[in-house]
Amino acid sequence: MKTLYLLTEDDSDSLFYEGCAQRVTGEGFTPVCRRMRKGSGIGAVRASLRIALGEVSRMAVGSGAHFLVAMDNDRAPHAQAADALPAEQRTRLSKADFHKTDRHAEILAALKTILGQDRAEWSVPVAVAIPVEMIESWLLLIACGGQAHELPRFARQDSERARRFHHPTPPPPQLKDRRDSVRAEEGFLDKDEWVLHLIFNKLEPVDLAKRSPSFGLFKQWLDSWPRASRVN
Amino acid sequence: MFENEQFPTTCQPKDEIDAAAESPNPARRHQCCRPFSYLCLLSSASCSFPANSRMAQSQPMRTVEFCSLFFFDWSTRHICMIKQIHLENYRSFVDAHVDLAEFTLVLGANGAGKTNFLRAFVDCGAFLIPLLRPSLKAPAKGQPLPKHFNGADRDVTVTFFSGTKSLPCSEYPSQRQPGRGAVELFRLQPERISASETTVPHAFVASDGGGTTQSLESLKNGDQEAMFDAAHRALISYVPEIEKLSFANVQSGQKQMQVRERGIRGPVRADQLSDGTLLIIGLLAIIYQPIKPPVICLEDIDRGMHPRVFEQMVKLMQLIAREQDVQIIATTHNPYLVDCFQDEPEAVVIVEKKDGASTLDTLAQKLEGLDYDNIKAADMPLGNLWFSGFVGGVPEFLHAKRQ
Repeated sequence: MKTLYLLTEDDSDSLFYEGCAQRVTGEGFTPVCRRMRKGSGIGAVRASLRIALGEVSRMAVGSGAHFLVAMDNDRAPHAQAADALPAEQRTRLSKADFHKTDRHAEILAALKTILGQDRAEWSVPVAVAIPVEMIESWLLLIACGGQAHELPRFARQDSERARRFHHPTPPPPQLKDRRDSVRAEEGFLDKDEWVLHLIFNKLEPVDLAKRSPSFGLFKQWLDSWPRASRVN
Repeated sequence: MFENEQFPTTCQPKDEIDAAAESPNPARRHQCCRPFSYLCLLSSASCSFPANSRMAQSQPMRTVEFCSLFFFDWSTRHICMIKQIHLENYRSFVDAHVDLAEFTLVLGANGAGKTNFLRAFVDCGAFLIPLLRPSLKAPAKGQPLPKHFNGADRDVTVTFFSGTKSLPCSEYPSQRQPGRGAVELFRLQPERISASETTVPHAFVASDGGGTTQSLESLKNGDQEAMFDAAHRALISYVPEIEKLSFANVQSGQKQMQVRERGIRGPVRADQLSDGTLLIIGLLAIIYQPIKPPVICLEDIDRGMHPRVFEQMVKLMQLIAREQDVQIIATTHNPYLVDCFQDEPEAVVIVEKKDGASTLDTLAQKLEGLDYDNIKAADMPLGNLWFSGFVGGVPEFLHAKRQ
């Protein structure tokens, strides 16, 4: 079995991305999980990428190692994916959110620095996942259907950031509020069990890519993996 | 007892000691193992500090009586520090060895074997006495040490190395020696630290923190004010709200710690202090107590402490380990604490469990396989590196779910 080297912000996230890779490529992987500390900034991500890719390159010979890095978009307004916040709404973001840079572009630049400018020449198949705004967006789209741009932007309804963004009206339930209620409605006490259920019973990658541009970008990365390891 | 050769009665020739002591080079002088401190152990004796010793220079009295204890000149211990340990078929270890520093930090996921690693020192502690003090006899052997679950048919051995010497242990000592041993494993309990206690002249801190009041009180009122003042200065520096630590008479012969806090009119009794403050007091009492074990093992050293406090505490402990010839082995789960060892990755031991067996590596060994030299420390401090899993010692969540 091929090795899938995952660099994520949460242990449960790695389960989701591993499942996505399995569903899109049709292959099973042996996971090697590495974590980034949440909120550690792009400098730490670059450092993590350098160390992680060093490890991957050492294991690459004969192991068929693939590399997947994932980071939430968290309202970075200039995200490449079309489901990012539209320009007219960006001014309502907090200063911290407004000044976030495009994470996909930052990670791609870091990857090019480490692996070379020509992606076709990279020694390891790579995928970058930047869910807009966070992994819960994709989970909700898989579970409930709908379009990415219709989803809320914040984690919790009672957060100060959500309140300020929606002022003067009170914010509706946000991504993690909605995730919790959908999971409860579907009868799953365990978050990871629910994620596995969504991936293997409900995820339609092609359909989800149409409804979520950020998932579409991720799928493009997975689709670019060597054809021998991909099933359409 | 000793596998390779008998330990010499002194670790360093006298003329070498004298030459080192007179050397203009401070590092050379530091290597001098002229007697300067005494560890009280088991029977009764009295001791005098040599006139030119550091202890004698800092103490107004040169003769100290230790009732029901005998003294242990462990000035030689600096050279006889435990430099490596090898665990074979012991508890969760099948075959693991690692180098040790004066202050060793032990990392690992829950259940990886950190506590078993510390237990090796405690289980064999009594046998370490002749390793650290060659003129003393080893105690009689007792029951065999506990074996690995899968290794009932194999021998169990814990071997300590000090330079070219080795000390293999396969059994517990025949009976637990009374008083302060060569190794103590501290698991501090705040309520034991704050308890009121009967004062005694030659107190020491017990493994749960009991004896803290006795120990600090005996420093203050037992002609060792300099040591008490040093501990006191450290305390008010780490917990700036505290202005003064003192001892109140609560019953006949019993005292309890109390502190003066900024802005509070009356004294605050120790049992009203926060757990974090009590744990800081407990740790200070351990490292400043006059009767210190040569090897101090500390579980969860940073428990209840602000990251900026334990940064200072680590520096203090490293200094005490170096200056007072104490070996400290401490466990943590805190990445910020690991950051404090940026310049000493060889002093960090990582315990991992692989296929049911605990393994040991130093962080320095783990870093050798990484491209860490090209990383800015600010972007990826050591604690971050450990948390991320790049050097192991992290829990494997979701393993069962993946199956």
